[in-house]
Amino acid sequence: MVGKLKDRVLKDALKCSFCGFCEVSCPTNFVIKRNYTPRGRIGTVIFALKNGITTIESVAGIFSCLGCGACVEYCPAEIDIPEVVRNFRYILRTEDTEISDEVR
Amino acid sequence: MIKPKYLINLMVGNILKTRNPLGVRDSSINTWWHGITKRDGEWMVFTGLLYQLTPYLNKIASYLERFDESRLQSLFPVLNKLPSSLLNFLIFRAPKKEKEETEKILKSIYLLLSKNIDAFYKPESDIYSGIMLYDMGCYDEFEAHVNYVTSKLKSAGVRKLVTIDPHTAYALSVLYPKYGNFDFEVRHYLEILSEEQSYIPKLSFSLGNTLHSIHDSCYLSRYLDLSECPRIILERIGIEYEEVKNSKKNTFCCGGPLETFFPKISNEIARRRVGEFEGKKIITLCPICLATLRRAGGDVRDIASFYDVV
Repeated sequence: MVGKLKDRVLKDALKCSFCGFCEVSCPTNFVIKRNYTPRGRIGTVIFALKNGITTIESVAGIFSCLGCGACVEYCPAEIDIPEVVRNFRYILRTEDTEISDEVR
Repeated sequence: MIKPKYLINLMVGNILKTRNPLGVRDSSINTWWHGITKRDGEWMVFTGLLYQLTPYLNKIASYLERFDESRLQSLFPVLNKLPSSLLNFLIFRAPKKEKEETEKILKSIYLLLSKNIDAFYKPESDIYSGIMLYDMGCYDEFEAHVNYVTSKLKSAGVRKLVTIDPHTAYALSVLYPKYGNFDFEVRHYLEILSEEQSYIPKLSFSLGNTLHSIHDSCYLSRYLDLSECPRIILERIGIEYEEVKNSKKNTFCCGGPLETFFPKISNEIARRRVGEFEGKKIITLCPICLATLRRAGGDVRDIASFYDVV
């Protein structure tokens, strides 16, 4: 199940063209760190799923998502970014990664 | 940041043990219904206990702020091993004023609903929805919880449910049918009350020249598309309000969902949102928004405080 979900999450995330329209809508965009915005979170997910590598700092960005859905209204690619983030949280808790000790 | 594993494991452990995210008995926090509800009818009021939990979650968030980035976080797993009676004594003592306010809100909603529809309440069948499990990506645990709640409601002979807060409304109307054999009719109470002019009494006292604005809940406006309902209700009650820049589908989150993992960021989001109201009184539709915006200094009240029934 996780394998299929990973494929789906990566497919959704790869629709992102990194235009950044979503950034203005995100309530956490005042934190001056790229991974605390929707575009940054998508970048974290793609990098982790393609390379099998993530860090606790990039995962902090994943857990900083409010799930409020404001970014969805702005995304020209119509990516359900909160869903991508939530699915990635599931993957982090079920897959063995170098940061498993931090999240489960 | 509070490390995700501490809070998620604590919440998952509590829900598995007690069906309550704080690990306390539902009956110890769910007391609003005594003496005013009936046990049979057409529509069961399903609070999902979110209003009842919020004063406690709010208090815990104020504790957690002190542990943000602290190494003392490593002591959190111990909490899972303490008996709930001791936890209640040490941490979860009810903030009296907030608890009274919450009970008044729930009573007002129930009394107003029961004037217009055949509403009833069974406290033993009113269980936390598990929405935080879903939000954290704990899908397997969420599915198990959905099945538990569904079986409790089915065995209680319930068919139709009225939800009170936006998170429970979203969980029951959108997520539960996806994750379990959940075939109940679910409606949010604002949707029902906005249907008929006669459902809502006009306010019997004057509010003077007070300027109000609505803080839309993300779940109610964006995910459930019900942002017109509170506006219809306020107009019928006779309350004037002004829209803020970020409203309806473009609402701005209160910051509440981050209050446990990132208490400082959550407070800053709430402070910014309060600033958008430029001193107007804020009307909320969700217990989490109420607590979070108030903690950030907003002059906030729940829409139910305008129902002239208690």
